[in-house]
Amino acid sequence: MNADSAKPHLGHAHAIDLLARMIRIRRFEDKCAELYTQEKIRGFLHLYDGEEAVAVGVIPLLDADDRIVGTYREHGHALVRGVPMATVMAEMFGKAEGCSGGRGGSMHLFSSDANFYGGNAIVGGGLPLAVGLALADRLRGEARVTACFFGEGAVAEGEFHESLNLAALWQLPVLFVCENNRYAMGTALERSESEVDIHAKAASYAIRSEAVDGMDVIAMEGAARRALDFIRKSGRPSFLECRTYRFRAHSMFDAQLYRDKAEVEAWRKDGPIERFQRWLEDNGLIRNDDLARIEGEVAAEIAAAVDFAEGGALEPLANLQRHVVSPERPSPPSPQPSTAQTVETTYREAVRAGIVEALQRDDRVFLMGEDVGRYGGCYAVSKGLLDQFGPERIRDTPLSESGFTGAGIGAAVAGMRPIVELMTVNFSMLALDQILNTAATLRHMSNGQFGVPLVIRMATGAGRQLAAQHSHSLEGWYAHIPGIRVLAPATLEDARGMLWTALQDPDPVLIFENVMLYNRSGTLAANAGPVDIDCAAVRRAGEDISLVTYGGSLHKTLEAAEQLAREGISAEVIDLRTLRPLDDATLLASVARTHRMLVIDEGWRSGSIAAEIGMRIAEAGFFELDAPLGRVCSEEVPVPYPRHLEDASLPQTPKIVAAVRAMLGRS
Amino acid sequence: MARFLMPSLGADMEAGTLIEWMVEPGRTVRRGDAIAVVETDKGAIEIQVFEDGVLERTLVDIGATVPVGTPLAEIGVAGGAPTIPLAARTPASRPAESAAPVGNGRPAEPQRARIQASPAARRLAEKIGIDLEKLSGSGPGGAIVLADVVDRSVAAEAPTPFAAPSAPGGMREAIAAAMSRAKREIPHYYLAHTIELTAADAWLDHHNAARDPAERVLLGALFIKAVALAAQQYPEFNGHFVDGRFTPAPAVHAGLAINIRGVGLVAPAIHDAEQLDVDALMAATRDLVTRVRAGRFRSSELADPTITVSSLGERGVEIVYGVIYPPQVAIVGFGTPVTRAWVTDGMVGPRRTVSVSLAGDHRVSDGHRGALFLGAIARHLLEPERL
Repeated sequence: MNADSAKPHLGHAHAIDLLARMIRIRRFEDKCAELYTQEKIRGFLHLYDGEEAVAVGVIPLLDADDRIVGTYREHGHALVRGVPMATVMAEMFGKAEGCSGGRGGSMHLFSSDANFYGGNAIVGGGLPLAVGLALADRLRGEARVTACFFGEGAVAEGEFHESLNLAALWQLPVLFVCENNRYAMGTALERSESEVDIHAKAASYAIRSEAVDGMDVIAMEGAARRALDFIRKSGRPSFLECRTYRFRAHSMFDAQLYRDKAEVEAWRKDGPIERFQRWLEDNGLIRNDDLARIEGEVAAEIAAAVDFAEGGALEPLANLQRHVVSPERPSPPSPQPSTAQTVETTYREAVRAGIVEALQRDDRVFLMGEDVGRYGGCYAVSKGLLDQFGPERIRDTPLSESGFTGAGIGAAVAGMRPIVELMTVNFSMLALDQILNTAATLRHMSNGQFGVPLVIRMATGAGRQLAAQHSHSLEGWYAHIPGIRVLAPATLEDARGMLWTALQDPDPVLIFENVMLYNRSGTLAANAGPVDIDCAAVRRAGEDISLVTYGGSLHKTLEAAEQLAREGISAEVIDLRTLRPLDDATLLASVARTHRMLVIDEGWRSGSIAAEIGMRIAEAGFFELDAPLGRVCSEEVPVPYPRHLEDASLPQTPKIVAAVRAMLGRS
Repeated sequence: MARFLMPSLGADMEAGTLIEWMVEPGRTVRRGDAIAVVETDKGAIEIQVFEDGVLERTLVDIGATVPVGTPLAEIGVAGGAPTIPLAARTPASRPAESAAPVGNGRPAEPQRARIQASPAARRLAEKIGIDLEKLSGSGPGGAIVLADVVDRSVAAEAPTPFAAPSAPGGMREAIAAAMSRAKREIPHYYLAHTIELTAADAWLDHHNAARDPAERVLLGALFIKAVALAAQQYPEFNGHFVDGRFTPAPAVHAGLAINIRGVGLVAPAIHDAEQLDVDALMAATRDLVTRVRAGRFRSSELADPTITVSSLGERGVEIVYGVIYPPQVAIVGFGTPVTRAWVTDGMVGPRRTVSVSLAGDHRVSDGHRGALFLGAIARHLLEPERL
């Protein structure tokens, strides 16, 4: 035992408290294992036996308004943090009384009361979230600390490195706690890392870093105290590598082929509870009846928790969709009567005007992304804003899409209104984990305790000869994901007005700006402002066919409609505006008028949003149809560089015209 | 053994729905008996058998819609061959061993291709009772699209409730089909003439003076008789134009255009009109109108008019220009009689007159003959006592 660090604080009561906390976790995990075999608990169950000293050493030192981000092995953390054991157990039973309403289970414990942000089961995925939470606190000048727990397996993930870099670079109050239990599932550290000294990796990011015996609760407490003192004084991050060991299998269904029983036994004998108990006895700090009292109290609490969980209710099926998105959204902005006064502007300027308005109206808003500041934005959207709003609110980021997108998510969860800019949709794939697994999921998984009011803007689409890694239209993929809203502004009005409304949304909103639109100029009402982000718009009324499109294809489609009109074909053009959720009513009403529908979508044909729209019409509008549904999509090739091939790969006006003629039997 | 087939009751009838057997299997039937009721676009029609014999067995279930020519029943004809169930006939001469070898796929049965029609076209067709098989498609690949159905049904919505068993939309559709065909195929020419009715009115007053209202003869009966007599004199206006050839009819079956309120017109025949005296014609007219409005008329009445007479009666307009009902070759239209200034023997005086028009088929007749035909009608009406 590291008595030095312990001395000032280790009175009898404190010692017994530490012991009791560790025993409480150990017995709780024992009970979970038992209940798992009885099929009361299902899914994955990752137990914390052996690692109790880490949570018990760190978490009691945190203040009530500090924040905690955990992993899927987080029962102990939740218990120490004060999430009631009964609600933790009920969560594992999948009951509505659970701390996440039964929606998360073992891996996804959440508690807004305890500032406990999960329960994150993507290895490494919690780190950017913690960075974002701390960023919000930093921007608001609040003195909170965010403690982020993760295993040593996360060290191999890019998000680990991105997050450490961001925390150090932006001087964020994050305590990174690496629980190095030597195995990432079954892969020993030596098998996955060229450098097994993990705390040295953190030091390489210029982060105060310390390795500590994670089996020694006193050492843990001492190290945590030092780290927290540093963070609170400096406002900068700190890193603890806690060398520990997991006594049980990775999860319940694990034969542990990767390690010897003897190795486990050796660690068990010297486990954190065993060591601390012996040490207390040797130093006369434990009385005869202390242990029995602790065990008795813990047993009673566990029995009560099991009873509570058993007696809990299953959430009604009717609530299945509840909290996918917030049940409450602000009402859409009422359309302003446009004044006669207009301005000549471009799509780019309209987007910028929207950003400026947001920054001016709401000091929780900030823009963050690659080259948004000094460079002025890859497509010059944010040019000049750095001078106007400063580097805190026009925040240049490293090329860490996952890291800064996750940071945006964390900041949004903590109450900010970030606008994250991803340079192009192709790059957004690097942030897809954060968008899908965290942003889109958090509200439902946490039973509505945590929402992500984040806006992510990105450029999409082809036409600038940027070849196969900068040109794709993947917004249709994003429209697949429940929990987010997907917008595709195609007009100056929408470029100007969608952002503010999106920032008022309690849930993540993705805005896709087609690169071919930025230079598009036109007239905009001088008082143009926020617009709704719910409804599709009929951009041109017609009778013979509905042309459904969005984004960059809108103008090609309008041009096609104009040509068709000269041939006596009256085409209705619908601008989807919002790709998720789709405005089915407008589409169905249109097809009920025209009885034919062609969808023009710059996405690839297979699995496209066009396919989704077609299927919805087939489902709900089948008997309105007077011709087979049609699609004009991009050819199924990576977008090629040369102009003629790029043009041929995309929906173009002549293709639209030809498709319409064919559908009307006039080819 | 004879087979009782789904009859063709009109040039535009391609299928019918069996809705009633009026005779049970085993019962004797006589030529001319109505033995079944078939629902067509024009309403429920009793169809007649043209054999004497015994209704052996029925082959089509109630409710089934089958194409024209489909056997509906077998009629055992007296003295005919013994009855053999149809199903047992075909393979009789083949030994069982000669069945297709194992593993050899059965020969594909000829399958009728599913009609290519859009969902919207199917929905409307079903709603208004149009048989898609009757339509040719104008859509891609010849598919039937909404416009094809709309074209065939002038009004998609039934304007007023109609008690008859036929779907009102179907009636409209049938009219639309026949009239479209008429205007597409028949080169119509039109003639009109004005006939003074003083003699006819006087004759009717005299004729009806001692009769109950139910037995009184109306002007319309005189018109039919006049047309029937004229048609006998000018046979190129009485008959059928089929497959590029005109066949004059030996008798005059005058199709009487009868309006069914809110639905449209049908024109079933008064058979052998030239043979009937005016009282008989009047009775036949009353009977026909009553049955048509009840939705029931005989197949033969609908199938075989040889010329149509359209009479607007008292509440119409002065002149009617008819459209010939194919395969007929003429329609004679009587407008509403009006009293006008009329010169008789150099003196102007009020006279009741009627305008009579002829729409003739130029493939069969021409205007000169048409004028003579109209003149004959006029003469007959001026001499009502000879009708």
